[in-house]
Amino acid sequence: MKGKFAWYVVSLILVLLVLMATGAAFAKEKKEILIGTNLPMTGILAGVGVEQKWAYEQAVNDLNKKGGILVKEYGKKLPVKLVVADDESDPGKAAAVVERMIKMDKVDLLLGGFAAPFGVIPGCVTAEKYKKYYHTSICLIPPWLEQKFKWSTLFFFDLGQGCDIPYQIWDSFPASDKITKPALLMEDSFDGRAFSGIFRDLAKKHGYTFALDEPWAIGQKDYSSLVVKAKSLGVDAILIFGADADCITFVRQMKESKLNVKYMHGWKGTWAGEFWNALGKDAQYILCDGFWSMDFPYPGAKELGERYVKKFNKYSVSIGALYGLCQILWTAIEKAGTLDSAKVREAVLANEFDTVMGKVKYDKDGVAVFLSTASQWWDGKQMLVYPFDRTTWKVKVAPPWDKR
Amino acid sequence: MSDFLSFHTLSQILINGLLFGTMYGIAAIGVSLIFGTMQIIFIAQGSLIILAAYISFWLFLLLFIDPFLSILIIVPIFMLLGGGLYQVLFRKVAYAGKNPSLLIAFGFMIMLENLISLLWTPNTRAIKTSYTAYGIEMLGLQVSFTRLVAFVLAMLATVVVTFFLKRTLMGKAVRAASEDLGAATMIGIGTHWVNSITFSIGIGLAGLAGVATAMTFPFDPYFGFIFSLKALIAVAFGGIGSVWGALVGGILLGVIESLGFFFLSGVWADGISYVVFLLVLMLKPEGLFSGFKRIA
Amino acid sequence: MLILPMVVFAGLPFIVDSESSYLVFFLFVTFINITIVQGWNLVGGYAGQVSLGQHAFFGLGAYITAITWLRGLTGYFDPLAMILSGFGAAILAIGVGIPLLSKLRGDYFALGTLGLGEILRVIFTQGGTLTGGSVGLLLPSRVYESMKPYYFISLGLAVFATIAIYFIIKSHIGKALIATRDDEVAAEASGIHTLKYKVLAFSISAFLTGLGGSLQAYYLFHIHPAGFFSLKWALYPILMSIMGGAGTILGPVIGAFFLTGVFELVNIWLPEGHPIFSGGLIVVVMLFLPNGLIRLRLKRVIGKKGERRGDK
Repeated sequence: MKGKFAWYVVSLILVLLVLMATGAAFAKEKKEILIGTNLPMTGILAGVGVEQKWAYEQAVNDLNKKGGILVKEYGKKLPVKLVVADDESDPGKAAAVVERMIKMDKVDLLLGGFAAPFGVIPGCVTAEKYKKYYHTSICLIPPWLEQKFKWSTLFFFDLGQGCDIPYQIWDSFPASDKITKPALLMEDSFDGRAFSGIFRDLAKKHGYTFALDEPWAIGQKDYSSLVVKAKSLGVDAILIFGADADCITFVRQMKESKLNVKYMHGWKGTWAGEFWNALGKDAQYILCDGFWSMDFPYPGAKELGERYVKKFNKYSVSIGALYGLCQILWTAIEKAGTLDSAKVREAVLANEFDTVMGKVKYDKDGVAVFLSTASQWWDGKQMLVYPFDRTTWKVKVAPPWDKR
Repeated sequence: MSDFLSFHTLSQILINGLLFGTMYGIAAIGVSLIFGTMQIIFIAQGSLIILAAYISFWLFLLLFIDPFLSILIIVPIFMLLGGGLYQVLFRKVAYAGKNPSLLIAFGFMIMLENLISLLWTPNTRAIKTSYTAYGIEMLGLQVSFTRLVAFVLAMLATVVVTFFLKRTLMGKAVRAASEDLGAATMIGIGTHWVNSITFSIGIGLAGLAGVATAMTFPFDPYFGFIFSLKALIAVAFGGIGSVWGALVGGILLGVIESLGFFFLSGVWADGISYVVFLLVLMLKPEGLFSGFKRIA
Repeated sequence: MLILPMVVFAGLPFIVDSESSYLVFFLFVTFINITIVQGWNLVGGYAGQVSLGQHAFFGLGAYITAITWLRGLTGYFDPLAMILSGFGAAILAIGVGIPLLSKLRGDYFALGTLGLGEILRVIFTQGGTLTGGSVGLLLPSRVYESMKPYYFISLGLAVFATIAIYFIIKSHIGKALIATRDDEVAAEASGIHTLKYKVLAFSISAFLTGLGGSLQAYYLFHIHPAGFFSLKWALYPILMSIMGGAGTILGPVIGAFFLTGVFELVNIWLPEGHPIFSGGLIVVVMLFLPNGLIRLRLKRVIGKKGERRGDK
């Protein structure tokens, strides 16, 4: 028969897979808690995936140093083993690897991935199919709620609250620095459109009108037309949403074309250390969003932040949310006394948790909200600006480029 | 929107498009030559450009070598690399039909992307020199210094390559092989040798494009593929095998995109490039500038 | 000879628990891949027209299924939806195939199909409420009950695709396609209306690919441009077809099994570095077995290079 050798190769592969799948089923005594997570380790989101993995690993290591979680059902403390599967920054693959973790690795519970609606929603959908608990963050709340998931929960910020921040800051400016011609520049994506809709509504509420309101294509390498428009309109503040490469390019072209604004606030693309590394002092005064700050007055926050700096040589305004997510899960498992998905989820909904993000409480739909933060870049660090009551740093208005 | 459409604004858009398009152009010349001589769609060109950008980044960060100077290091290395790549990857399958070479280019590309991602982390990188965000004023328009430099480099490179192909013996051999392989072989021109040279030029240009990219904007490991796609479009505009055609094709693409981003919103502008691409393929597959001879 | 594996595959869900079995899921993915690979093989392997745009048909099929379901015209696992998806893709193929195939040869056709795929992606990203824009459409995932229907339908599609290709190749259509592939000018000269056959192959390949997209839509419940018009769906069929052996009936099957399996194993063993291995594997196989695994014979690997029997 033609290609006999090829069929042998194929059969070998199938046998390997079957062996791997059944191998896990032969574990006799329960030695550890298997937590699976799908993260982008390759592909365009790999940068985020690597750091998220680090955050989860920190949480797991800190827990295992204490011996693990006391699970009443097994009558002893069990350590946690993290199973990470690469979803290749692709939603189809995300669903596939979650299936694989449930069926081959036989994980007990699942931690969420990244990049809503992609990494997270396919995971949630798969978790529903197999009734495994998927404990996640990083997903916009409205689309998640729409699906009425019964086997996952969400820990994230409310878009309305996050988008309101710049207006609150503007309202606090003295009359001499009043913002009269703001610009709204959002990337043309799902997240971008969600943000822009809310920004517009809230602008009206606070009495601001955008002089320039335009979406741009992701990965567009040349924003000069936008910069030209903004300059000719006399824009004095910019709200920008996009990836870090795009934001970096935009700021550079702002400087090249000498577009001066008093206030520039970025979402998604301005919070990473790379933003500062790429722009240097040109990034001074620019604001970014965030989930967290190492300056939060909560136990463990500062130490976690310092660990991050040591490892990555830059500061993070997001890592606390992921670490906190794990803290919630560990406590919930202990309170549930079992690894059963339904009971663990119940425990998540029923209790209040103390984390590096502060106190966390879920509502009956499975959503727990944290406050989105704002920080201003100053000498290489993001200085916490909002929530106002957690910091003393006041927003500094940006002088023109040639006066810096 | 028509409030913005002054002559000044329009010229600004055109200049930006032109300067930006030269990046596509440099990438496209290499692809065009390789496509023309060997019928290989070398989709890994973009990723090699990104590799050059990362090397330039490293040289700058660790050894404080200015990107301009790094050209002198990177381009020769890449030329050697090009010859080597041909010998290792493509020599065997150069005449075995187009499918194996397309897949080899693809396989090589995903290896390269991942390798870059592991060596330099997947995060976005950028070079910051004293002249990075520097804009000069020319004729009342704001021109980005680094993009202007990229333009000049692209012009120089095109002139050099054209000179090589027209005036040197090796260059003429390359042209001969591309125009009539059988005849060239008969008179003793070693085709694998010629192909190596072509690859050498193509990858050397990728090295140049990489440094220009590193100087101009931030990059990440996975940007290369899109770059390759745009290079292909530029090649279609300019005609396969034509060096000046590829450069002008790239510039044209840059201008179309620049105008598109200004007049249309976001994603439609992206689509415009592909629509024009299809139209050119259908109506003038030999390229818009078929006045240029092949390989010249 | 082929009956044995068929029986095993058909009986598998009754031996193991289809809900908790990883093998059942893996085979489901592989069977969809076989279907779309057979599609590419017909137009790329037999007719000799390299299409880089299969992702257009895959995505279109998925969207047709999703949109008709959300508008109440079809339901979950509705045969009508799948047939509409297949035919929708086929009609698109005819519509663009006629101009593209009549005017563009070889590489230009490949580039043209690539452009087509990208344009379609842009259209669906901008489609407003009809297509859900860049976030796409969410189907009611609560209707999911069991893995069994997915498995059997995908098995059915794979078998259908393979048998259909078999009969097409054995018929006069197949002979016309092979003649066109080997020497188009000679084929035209001997009276074969090559355009007709090329378009036919293109549309059948689109039909199969559209079916694949439809089933994937039912599986994922979330249809969006980035995932369904991803170039992955354009390149994987080519990879699997050629690595298995283009221009053969079973080559696609081998290629699909081999690559789906290898990619999965490598993803498990090397979470951060697997593309290096996969890419390297592709390069090595193409260098040493450019005609695909199916032509791998131990003797040939060790002995002299075998003659190529007229396949390109």
